[in-house]
Amino acid sequence: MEDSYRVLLIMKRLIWIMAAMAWAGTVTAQPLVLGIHPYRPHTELQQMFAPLADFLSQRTGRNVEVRIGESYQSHFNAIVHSQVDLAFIGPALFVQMTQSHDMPNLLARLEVNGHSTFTGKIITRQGSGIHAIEDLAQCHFAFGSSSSTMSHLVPRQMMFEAGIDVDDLAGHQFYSSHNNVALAVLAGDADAGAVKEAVFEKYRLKGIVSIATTPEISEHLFIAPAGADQALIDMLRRHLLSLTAESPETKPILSPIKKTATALVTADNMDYQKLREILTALRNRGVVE
Amino acid sequence: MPTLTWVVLATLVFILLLSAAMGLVVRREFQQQLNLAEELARGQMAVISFIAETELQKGNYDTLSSLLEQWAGKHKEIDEIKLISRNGFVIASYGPHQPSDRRHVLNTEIPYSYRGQAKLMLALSLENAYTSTWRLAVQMMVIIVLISGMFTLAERQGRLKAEAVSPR
Repeated sequence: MEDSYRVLLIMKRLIWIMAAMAWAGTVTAQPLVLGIHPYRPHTELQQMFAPLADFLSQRTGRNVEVRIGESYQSHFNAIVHSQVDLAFIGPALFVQMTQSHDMPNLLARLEVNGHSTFTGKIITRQGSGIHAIEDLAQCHFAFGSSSSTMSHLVPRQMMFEAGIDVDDLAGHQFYSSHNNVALAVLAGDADAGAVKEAVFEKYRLKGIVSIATTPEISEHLFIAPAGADQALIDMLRRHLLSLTAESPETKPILSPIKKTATALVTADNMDYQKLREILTALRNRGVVE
Repeated sequence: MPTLTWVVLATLVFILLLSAAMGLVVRREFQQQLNLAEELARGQMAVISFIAETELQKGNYDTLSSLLEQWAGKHKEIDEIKLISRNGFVIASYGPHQPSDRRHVLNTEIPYSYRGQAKLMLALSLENAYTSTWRLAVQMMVIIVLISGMFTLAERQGRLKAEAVSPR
């Protein structure tokens, strides 16, 4: 009787061990999700970040999947609800996140041509007759996404400080990307617009001119949601910070993200203080929530 | 009239009549090919202008180039597409890949949003219509030569036989 009870007990333990092993197996097999905000067409972003996902998969031993948010807001929500394990995010969205939710974990920020800050431009067509922000009164203006740092938030505050609010314009429209802003200006559908400097350079030869430059803002960054596993954060940060364009091994991972990217460097919350001040001013005016 | 002269004259008349008939067939075939290409162009234009209008309405200028390229890449008859804004800026374009005068060109205006107006140009290559018509013409010429040869032989045989049986 005792023997059969012992056998039953052993079998019960074995079943528990097997169940625990199966559960652990499921957990380790779960892929890590790398979330990207939709600043370019979906298929393009998948291609741009695929080498990084492969690199992180190799280094972490866990499959890394690239997922693209359908909007900046859905990207924001995915991070604050920990639906992604790491995310590439624009500085404005990051600052907004720190102001309304728990502080996410900063992993690394982009360094472009040796600089970890970037600027934006207020643009118009050659020969439009617009030479300064003050000339924008009664013009049609093109912004990018309402959450975009350089195609809406920073230039909007800059225009306000120069005496032009959206009410002074003949009209304004939000476009889904920086490229679309530049093309709207070139096509004559908008008299002027706001884009990041890289996009200004891309369309410069097609007839775009700059009438103002924004202050320097800290670059786009990789973050992990607040409350993520510390060991995973440390591992992801270590591997991301190992990426540099000087290494022939890691250059092919960085350059698809941005041709001129030179490295991923450490990021600190204070790097985004200037932008925080701008966003606070915009919030006080009711431009952002 | 001597047999040879008669045969030559009859053959010439036969060749002329046959050539005229074949010419009509080739011409009709060519016209049908052109009509088909024009109909195809109208259909293509309807689809492309719908795509362009939808994307312009949404302000998606950037995706238009790749959309037009993908579409045109799958339809080999399309030689060139150009979407030009009111101020003359080329918003999106494809081709021309085989520059040729033999094209069927369609233009349409696309109004979008409150202020936008773009011009869409679509050019379909007619090279296929010309090539297949030329091929048909060559085939017809070979047929004319063969039939005329056979006619000449038959005519000559008939004349010779008639001469042999006729009293001198």
